[in-house]
Amino acid sequence: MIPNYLLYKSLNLLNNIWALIFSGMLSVFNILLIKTFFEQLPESVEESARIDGASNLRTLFSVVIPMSMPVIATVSLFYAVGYWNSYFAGVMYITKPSLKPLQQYLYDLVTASLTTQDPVTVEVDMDKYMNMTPDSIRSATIILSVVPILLVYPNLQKYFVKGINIGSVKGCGKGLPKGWNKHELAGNHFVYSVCNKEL
Amino acid sequence: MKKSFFGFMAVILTLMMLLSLGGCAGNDDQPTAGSKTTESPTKAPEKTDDAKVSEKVEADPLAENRPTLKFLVGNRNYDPNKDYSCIRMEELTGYDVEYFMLPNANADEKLLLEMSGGSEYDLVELWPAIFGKLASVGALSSLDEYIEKYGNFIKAAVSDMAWEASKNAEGKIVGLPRQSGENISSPYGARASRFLVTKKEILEELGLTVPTDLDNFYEFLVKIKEAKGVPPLTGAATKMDDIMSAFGIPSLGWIEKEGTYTPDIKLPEIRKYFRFMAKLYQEGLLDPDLPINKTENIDQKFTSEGAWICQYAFWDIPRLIPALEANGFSRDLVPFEEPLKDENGQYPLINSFGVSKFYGVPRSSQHPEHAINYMNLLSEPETFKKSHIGDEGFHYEVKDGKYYPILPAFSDLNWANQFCGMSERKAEFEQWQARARKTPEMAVAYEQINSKLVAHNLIFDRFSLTSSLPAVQQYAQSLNKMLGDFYIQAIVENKTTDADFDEITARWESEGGSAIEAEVNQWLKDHPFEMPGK
Repeated sequence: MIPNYLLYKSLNLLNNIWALIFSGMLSVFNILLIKTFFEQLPESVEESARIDGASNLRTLFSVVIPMSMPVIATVSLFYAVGYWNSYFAGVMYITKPSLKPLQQYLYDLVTASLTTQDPVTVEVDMDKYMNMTPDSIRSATIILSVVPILLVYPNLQKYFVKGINIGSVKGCGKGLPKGWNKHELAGNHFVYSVCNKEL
Repeated sequence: MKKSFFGFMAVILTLMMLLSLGGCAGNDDQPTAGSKTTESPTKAPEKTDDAKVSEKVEADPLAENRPTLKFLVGNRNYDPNKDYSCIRMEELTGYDVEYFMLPNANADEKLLLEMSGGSEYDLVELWPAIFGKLASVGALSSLDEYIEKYGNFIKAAVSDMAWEASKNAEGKIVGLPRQSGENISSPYGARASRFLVTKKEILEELGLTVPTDLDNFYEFLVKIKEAKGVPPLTGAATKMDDIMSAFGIPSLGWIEKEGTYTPDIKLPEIRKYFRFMAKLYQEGLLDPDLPINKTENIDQKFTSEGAWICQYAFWDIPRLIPALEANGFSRDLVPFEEPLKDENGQYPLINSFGVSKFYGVPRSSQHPEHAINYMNLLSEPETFKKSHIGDEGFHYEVKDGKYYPILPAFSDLNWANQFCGMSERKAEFEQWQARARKTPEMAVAYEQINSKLVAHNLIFDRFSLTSSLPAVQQYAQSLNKMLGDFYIQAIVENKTTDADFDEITARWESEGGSAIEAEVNQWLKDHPFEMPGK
């Protein structure tokens, strides 16, 4: 924690919006998830791309990535939710009020009413009480902060299921010669692969 | 192959461009001096004293090449950089100030991290406990030399007692104290929070009058209980100052008697008070939910027929009115105009003098002289008043020597006393009352609870000056928690025998209480009482 703070300080990233982004960017779990998904893609699809003369990069961008959209959507959702809920990075690296992340703002809003000071030895700051945000506004803020994620989540939810279950080779394609499967790629391109499974 | 390579490069380049654009956008967020002036509310009054202010600025030896001061402050739920009163302070002093803010959770740790990481703040807002810690590890600059050179207004405003509380172990001043407390020579203002309040309807219905001593208070409760069948008195705290006064003590906490500060647990009066409260609790006159009550429950009970007497602060009153009216009650609540009297017909009141916070200058600051100069400009009495409550006739008015706000202009200054300069205590307290009168309901309540007070026994409390002493820092929090828990047990489980109190007193002493008592009394002896005119 402290070494990270010092690292961000020496990189001049304190009080910088990138401190909030970099600190949550690398997730081993997500890397493993994508790696596993790549490995599950049928080798025959890559082979057929190679036969058509595609380089490694071309195979990655034109074949593998378009076929991996479910897992990419899933991981994007993880990141979106992760950043939306991110709280700790703000506490660690940010002191500039205008860069305060949403969750920290909410936390401050909710806890502003609970005094952490000890009223016996420390005087109560009466102005804080007099200018307290009304409950109704606090509640409204919390509800509003939930809405965007609430809207995005159900729309991406379907990819979660796909991202975990989908495999390219489920059976042989309908309307194709026996033993062949057809994969749709972006931009009206198709890849045909040999189907290993019985219909 | 070639095509795919260019495609790849295009993607990479686009990404890089997007990233750098994002970076620029991020930087644009930072408020600059230019953007601040455009942001400042249009409501800002004409600066009538422009000439005066600029004169002051010219007289200031550091008028040239002023840096933007970086000010690290505790958590607030608004952005000081955009707050009207903070922008106003910049206009009044001619300094640009950028505010940075600690998180609400783990603020202590974060502050220590920022300070040890050598961040370049010029001013830091410090609450007493953390001030003591930072002063003892030498993280704060010694300010004597700068105050001598640039701090004439600060010196004029701060009393010697407060300076004593601002020194480190070597006797160097390492913080500027913000003095707090009431006008200690008058009882007006001694009751601000925690007074008892009842409803007009019950008085009329049962033909009762507001009780003035313990006996008729008890009868009052019994009669309401008989008529309404609910525990009439509710609250969330074990300390009810208005009842305690009938036992000769103003509140919980440390009380000075014959030059020695004694903690509440050692006072014989406290035993009597808790016996009385326990009796109310056992007889069903005090809300059985007392230990678990929260503001919401109390409000709910008091604004309906669930309770008839409650302890509130004057700023709570406006919040209650819509609910009271919705439930068919009158909006005119009846506060107890005086605390309950003891057998001699007297009650004690407490007026305090202390330091609510310090402004420190970290050792890593690049501009310590400007930090002090800025605070000094803010501490000039006229500038202080302008930054604290605004302009006369525009933000506030004075009627019969009392300050009243002019709304809505005054609401721009809701947070104006958060980062003020140093001020003479009496003047500030009188100005501050404009805030207490911010809504008509608050104004009425404040007047009702304070205007009839008699100074039978006005206790002067300066205990909070000791809050940065090592023993207080080390033990006070856990001891207060221990006593708080005990006081709840005392009422709820009727643990009020002498043996119960002796046991907890012995525990309190052995767990650091004696150390605090010795240290505090030594400190107060070394820094004798001085009636602060300041």
